[in-house]
Order: sequence, then C-alpha cells, then structure tokens
Amino acid sequence: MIQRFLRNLVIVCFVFLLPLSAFPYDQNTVHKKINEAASRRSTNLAAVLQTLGFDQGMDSLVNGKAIYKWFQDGGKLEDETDCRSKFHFHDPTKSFDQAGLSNIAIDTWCGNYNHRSSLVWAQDTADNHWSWQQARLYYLGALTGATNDLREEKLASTFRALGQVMHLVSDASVPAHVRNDIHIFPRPIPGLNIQIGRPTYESWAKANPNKLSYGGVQIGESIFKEAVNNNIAPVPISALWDQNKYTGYNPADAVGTNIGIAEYTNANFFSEDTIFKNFTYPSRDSVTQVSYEINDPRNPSGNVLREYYQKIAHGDTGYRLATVGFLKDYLFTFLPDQVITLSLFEKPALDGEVYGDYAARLVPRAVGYSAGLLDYFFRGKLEMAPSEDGEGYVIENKTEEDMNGTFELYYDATDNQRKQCWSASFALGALSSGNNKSDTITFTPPTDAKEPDKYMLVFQGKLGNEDHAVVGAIPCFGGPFLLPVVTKIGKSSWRGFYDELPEPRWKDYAMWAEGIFYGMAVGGGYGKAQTESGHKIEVFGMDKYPATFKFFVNDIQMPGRIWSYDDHFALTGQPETWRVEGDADKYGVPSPPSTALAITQPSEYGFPYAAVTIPILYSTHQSGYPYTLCLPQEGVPACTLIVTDIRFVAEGTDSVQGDWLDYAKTLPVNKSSFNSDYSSSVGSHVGCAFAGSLMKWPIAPELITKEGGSGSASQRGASVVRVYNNPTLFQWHYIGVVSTCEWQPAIVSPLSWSPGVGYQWAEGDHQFKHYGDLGLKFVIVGTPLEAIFDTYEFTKIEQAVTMELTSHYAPELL
Amino acid sequence: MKDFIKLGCTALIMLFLGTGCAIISHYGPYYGKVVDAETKEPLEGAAVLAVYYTTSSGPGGSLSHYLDAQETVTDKNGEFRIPPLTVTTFRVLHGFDAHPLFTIFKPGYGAYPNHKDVKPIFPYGSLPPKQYVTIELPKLKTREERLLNYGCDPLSDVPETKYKNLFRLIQEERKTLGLEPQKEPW
Repeated sequence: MIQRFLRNLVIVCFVFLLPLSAFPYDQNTVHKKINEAASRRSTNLAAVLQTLGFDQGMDSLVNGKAIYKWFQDGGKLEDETDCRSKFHFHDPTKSFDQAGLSNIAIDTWCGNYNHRSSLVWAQDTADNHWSWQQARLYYLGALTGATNDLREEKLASTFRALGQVMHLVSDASVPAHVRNDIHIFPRPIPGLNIQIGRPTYESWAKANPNKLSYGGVQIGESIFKEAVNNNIAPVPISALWDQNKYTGYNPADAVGTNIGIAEYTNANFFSEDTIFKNFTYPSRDSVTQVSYEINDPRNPSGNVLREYYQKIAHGDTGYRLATVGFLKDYLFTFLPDQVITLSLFEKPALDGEVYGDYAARLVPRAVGYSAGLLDYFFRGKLEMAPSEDGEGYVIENKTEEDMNGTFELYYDATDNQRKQCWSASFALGALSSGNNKSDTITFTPPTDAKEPDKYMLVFQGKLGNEDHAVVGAIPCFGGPFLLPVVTKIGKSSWRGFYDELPEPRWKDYAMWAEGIFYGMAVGGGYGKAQTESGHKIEVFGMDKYPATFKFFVNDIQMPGRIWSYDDHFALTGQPETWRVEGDADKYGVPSPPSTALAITQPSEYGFPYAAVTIPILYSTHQSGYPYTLCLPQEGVPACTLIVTDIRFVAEGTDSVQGDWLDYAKTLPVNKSSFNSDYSSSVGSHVGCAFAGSLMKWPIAPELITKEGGSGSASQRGASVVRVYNNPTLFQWHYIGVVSTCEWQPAIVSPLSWSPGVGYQWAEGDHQFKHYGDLGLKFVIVGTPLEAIFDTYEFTKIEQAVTMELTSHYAPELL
Repeated sequence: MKDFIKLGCTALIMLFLGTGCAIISHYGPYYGKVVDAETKEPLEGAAVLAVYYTTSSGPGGSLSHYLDAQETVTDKNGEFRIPPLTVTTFRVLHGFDAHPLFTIFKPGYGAYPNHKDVKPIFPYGSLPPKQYVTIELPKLKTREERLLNYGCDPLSDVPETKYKNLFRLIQEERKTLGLEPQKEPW
C-alpha cells in the first residue's frame, strides 16, 4: 500500500514539477520594447536601411509590416514553443559546451538531452532556424532574391531572426538565466485569477512597465575583438555574452561595457535561489548593510525603513543587492556564538526595490548589447565608383575589417527579375590598410535593365573574423559631385525642448551626422577644425558639453577634446569620413540621434556643401522650433541654397487656427512673417522659403527681422527660385528648390551666431501643425557658381512636388 | 487496473491544481475615462484595447499565449467600457493571465501604458476591473516623440481584426508622420 502510494506520489510529483522555469522578460512588453529600442538605436542598421532605399527607416513597411514590428515579433517568437527556451541559459563560469541549462526533469519533459547554451543556440546551424547564420542567409536572399516579393519576405525574416537572437542577448541580462536557476513560482492558480509564490525579477519587470528604462548603454567599441575562438560558436557575437574573462572568481574583471553581458550579470547580481550561494560572487564581503526608507508596502501613503545589502565591492557597486534577512539581527543578538552558521538561517531576499536597482542596470544593458548585435550584423560597408582612369569601376572596402570572398553585381531587369551581371572573388584589406580598393573592374552593362546604372553590389565571404558574412551596397555611378558629401543625416531628439523656454535649445539635441567629404563638416554644434587644404570644421557648443558630443574622423574618436569656438583641427586634404555624435542617453532618448548639420567650406568642387534635417515641427505655445538652413558665411553677402534631396514628411494634427502653411497661404504675402525672439543662439534662417515653395506659397519678399533672446537673428525670405534636379543621383528624391538668403553679419557678432539654428513661430497665439521633417541636402553656392546649375521655372517644381507628395507622403496637402 | 485509474485521476487532479489547465475564466468589466493630461478635457475617439492571454511554463520561463481581445473607442465624454468577458478554452498546462494587457491610443498623445508620462499606469499595463479609472494621456509635441509612441499595437499573434479601431488610428498616425500606411489586412 505504502509502496503504491509512494509510486503514485513520485509520478504525480514528476508531472507537477515539470514546468520548472526561470522566468524571462515578458514577451509582450519587455522583450518587445527592448527589441524596438535596440533596433531604433542601431546606427548601422539605420544606414543600411537608407542605403537600401527604406527612406522611412525603422518605420518603413517590409512585407506588410513596419520593420520595428519584425524585431518585436522576433522578441516574442524566440519563446514560440515551451521547450525552445531550454536553450536560453548561459552560465559564463563554465565552458561554452557546458554552459547551458542542465536539468534532468527539463530534459525529460522536452525529450531533448542537449544542453546548448544561449550563446551556442544563437549560432546553431542544425536545429535553430532563426539563428545568426540563418539571418545571414535570409539577408543574402533579401539582396539577391529574384523577385521583389521574395526579397521582402527574406528581409522580414532577417529582421525576425535578428530579433530572436536579440532575445537571447537580452535573456543573458536576467540573473536566473546566467546562474542556472529555474523556479516554479510565481504561478497562476486556475480559476482564481491569482498568482502564488514570490515574484521574480522578470515578473516584477512585467508588473512594473513604468519603472523600466530602455535608454541603452553604449557597448565598448572593441568588444568583438575579445571574442573567444570556439568552434561551437565561431561568430564573434559570442563576445556579447561571454569572453571567458570572468571565471567565477574575478568579479573585478566583470564590469564595464566591454565585457560579456552574461559575465556581468552573473558576477554582479543574484537570482532568487542563488543569493550568497551556488556562486562565489557576489559574496558577503561584497556588501554592506544599509537602511533605506522605502514606500510602506502595507500603507502606500507612508514610508518604512528596510535593511538592504548594498553592493560595495567585487565588480559593479552602488546598488541594493538583496534585502537583509529578518532573522539576521535576532541571530546576532541572541545566538552570537552561532554566527558562523548565520548563512544557514538568514534568508535574504529580492524585493521590488532591489529589482528596481537591478533593472536600472540590466535593461539598458540588454538594449545596448542588442543594438550592438545589430550594428555588428550591418557593419559591412562597400562602395563602388568609377575608376580614376575611367576604364571601369573600383570596389572599395569601407570597413575596418578585411574582406575575402565573392563580390557580385545584380540589377533589376525589365521583367522585374533581379539578375546577376558580374561576379568575382578576391580580397580587400581593411579601410585603414591602404589596400582596400580593388583593381579596375569591367563588365558589360545589361541591356534589359529597368533603371540604367542602378545596381546592387553584394559581398559574401569572410569579413574580419566572421565567415559567411553578407554585405550589400547600392553603387552610384552617375553622380557628378553631390553624393560624396553626406552619406547619412540623423534626426533629432527634441526632448526637453519645450520645458525650458526661453533658454537656448540647440544645445539639447542629441545629434548625429556622418559623411565623406573633402572639406570638413559640422554636426551637432559648432567648433572649428581645419584641413591642410584650408577646409574647416566648425562645431558649436562642445565647449560647454564636452561629454555630450563625440567627434570621429575615420571612425577614430578624437581623444580628450574640449571643443571650443576657436579650436582648429588639422586633417588631411584627402577624403575623410567623419561623424559627430550626440549622446542620446544623456537625454534618455532611445533613438538614433539626431539632427545634423554638415557643412563644408569651399572644397575641391569649388563651393561649400551643407546637409541638414530640418524638423519643421509646429505646435502650441507660440513655441519656437529649431531649424537649420543656410549657413551663412561672414563676408559672403549672399548664398544660394540648392536643395537636392527633399524628404518631405508628414502633415499635421489638429490645429486651432490653422496650421502654419495654411496660415501662410491665406495671408497676404507681406504678413507671412516669422520672428525669432527665442533665437537665443541666434540664427539666420530662411525656412519659410522651403515650405513656402513646396506649398506653392509665393515667397515673401521680406520677412520681419527681429532681435530677441540672448542674441539677434535675421532672416530673409527667399526670392525664388532655382531648381536643381539630378535625376541620376536622386531620381527617387526628385526635385530641389533653391532659395536665397542673405546673411547680415553686421548685426551678429562672430561668436554669437549659430549656423542657421533659429527658432520661429508665427505672430500671435498661433498653433501650428507638425509638418514633419524636411530632410534636405543642399549646396550652398556662391554667387559666381550659380551658372553651373540648371534653372527651372517654378511651375516645374510644383509639378515635381505634386507628383511625389501624391505618391508617397502627403496627398492631403495638395 | 484500479491502481492505474487511481493514478490517472490523481495525476489529472494534481495536473489541474498544480500546473494548470485553462478552461474558463472571467474578466472585467473595465471602464473609465480618457482625458488630456494637460487640459483634463475628455478625449473622444481614443482606441481602448484589452488583450487576454494564458500563460504556460517552459524551461526558460513563462510564456504568453494569445487568448482573446476586446476593443472599444471612447465616446464624446472620453468614456469607455469594455464589457465582462467569459472565456472558455482548454489549454493543458496553461493558466489564465489575470492581467489583460491594455492599450489606449489616440494619435498625437502618449499611449497607455507605453508612454512614461501617462498617469496612472497600473501594474502589468492592465486596468483594474470593476473600477472607474481616469487615464491621462500627455499630448506629444515633437515628431520624434510621436514616432517612438505610435507603435503600440500588440504583437502579431493578435489578429488585426480584433483591433480594427486601434489599427485605423495607428495608420492615421503613420500618415500624419509622413509614413506609408499599412494596408488593412481585412
């Protein structure tokens, strides 16, 4: 009888215990948000999307859904089946092949006795159809697939697969997943709609969505160079998890953002059942006891003191690691001779406050490392341009890693099939090697091309230490001079902008821009640098906010620089890549920064370039909105802006008195005026000219000039109008508008004017609509050079704009 | 044979009690009002979506499985009401998630529960049943904010047909932001 009972009990208990689990982040909220934030944070992904023609970035539709949604879905689908999550563990104190979850009940339940860790699972080529390697294959299909439908499907699969790998990276920021800790609780009780059991870190995160920050850390730039060479996880993304640096006994090495996320999490945090046990660290010597006043759980209107173990040593410090067990003081007081057994009796725990401290460190890390994964996937950069001798073309590796593999050129034929027209295998050195260009390549242009001179260049092969990498690029063969100027323009994050009027605003942007230039460029601010050939970079504002901006030349951050107005910075006269980054984290904006202004002083082409995004953003409060247009130069009385790339985005929301453009259209020209009172950094701007032109609004011959803020501003309406249209380079971006602006250096001192950053609003209490961004690339042409551009009548502009707005953007505006 | 039946019955009972077998559950009703956080004026036409899930446990954690969804829009007083829902299903080893995930969205406003300035945000991004709540949505002032806010629709396991109003409003917002709207899947 007893034997039978025990037998039944064993079997029943087995069934009961089957669903042991280490709770991951909730798929519907936390994984979803981590993946979206990370994908929006990846600058390389943003650049590739732009290269591939997805002008709306992460919000572009691919295979029927916005791109960010594919990443979100990947975050959930990695948990698609119950047993898939068996491979979501990685204990960094063990070797890769032993680091996975090892639990006989789980193995039996799943019918799978393989213990692959999440690091290995992410690179599994046998059973995981959504691994890194599969993502590579999908991406290859997305670039080379025969039909557009097939390519879209493959691109969607690429994003989903990457989203699933991002899930694995994120799980490595969950202590239970890196400390081999599985639980049965908390669990819902059927019929009662309640949960029993203590919360876990992950269940707390699910319950407290408003307490999580998805800002993202910036991972170390050299993290992938730290990857362990291991056959079961050969791709260097393993470094994001585990670099075999943390052995379980050296927590001081498990800090910073150049360490594997699993190593960091294991060394510095507890899971619910590994508090001061199973792992050497954190140890009792890592903590000190501190009282915190916290919200009283029993009386939310009051506070109560609670004792915590605060981490003070052995790795990361400065946060609550666990609560102090309530028996501790009792034991010390009444059983002092048995203190040695303290750890056997004291029961420290993890409460909501502790989880809050954990989440503040671990969720941004999950976001940052996931973004790093994407940046690594899309790191390859290629260019193909006519050779100097004009005999053919040259492929250039723009990546700081060697390339060795097959280069292929595809085109879209008139039968809507993508076809290969050239292929060859060779090696290219890294960008800085000086050996990064191919020999002259020749091929016969296809006769059935849908769009002449439009190709897709695809590389497959070894990129740095990664085998089977894939890189895509769209070469530009036809452009005379504009394309090399600016390759990427960031968008702005205007957080905090409205709360601080009338303080200067432009300093608060997160900014980012990069490009290739012969002159120099400005992004995000204003300072100065100079090339050997006399070109200058000017970067405003960095003297005040040195930690906010980073300036890179050829991917190398200029070290320890305190930017100031008067600094000059020597560069070579050769083409340089550059970028200026703002620190979006500083403002808590989890987006790829920013608004950027890129300016070249007179260059080899004989005139300066500029590229900006102009947030034409209008709302309530008579607020001013920064926009950047012409960068006037002192001593140059007039300049002409030739817009070569307009991306007019968005019409607005409701407005009280009509939006800005409606307002402008309904007013006599001489009243279409805008002031710049809040232009505290002072701008000289001609923004109305662009919008006005686009909206068929006759440009005001004169606009009010007014002093205000801490400086003064001047603006002049443009007096229409030149059009530059380069159908070869910008055939999908249509027209350009030229307006002229006048710079009046007499009323602004050299140190007080900013490069066209100003704030404007209409007179009166006027509510504007948001008209989105005018992403512009334009050229500032000195008067003597005007003749090189074709001139079109304004009616032709209207026609072009009408066509584009109708087909893509804002038909309701027409 | 008797032993086998006893064992089977015991196992089933323990299975039901211990690991869960989702059969029937009751939710709601949920009701309240949506207002502009700044003006406190009611917001008409905001979509209110409740998505219900069951949960199961895998080795790597608790997994959510879509169960059902209900949607409504706020009236001219900004008020909404999602009626009580009785869900019947049969999902072995599942439990009902007691907290349906809510989304409240109106173009140009921060979405509940994603936007940090929404007040209040209830635990789990849910709403308390049988309790009148007032949700304040902040008006968004920049395009950047709106871009980061509009993607509040649920994941793809929830059929779009279950949230036609939310889908429509999101597409309106995409148009407003100059983005190509997604085609209606129905």
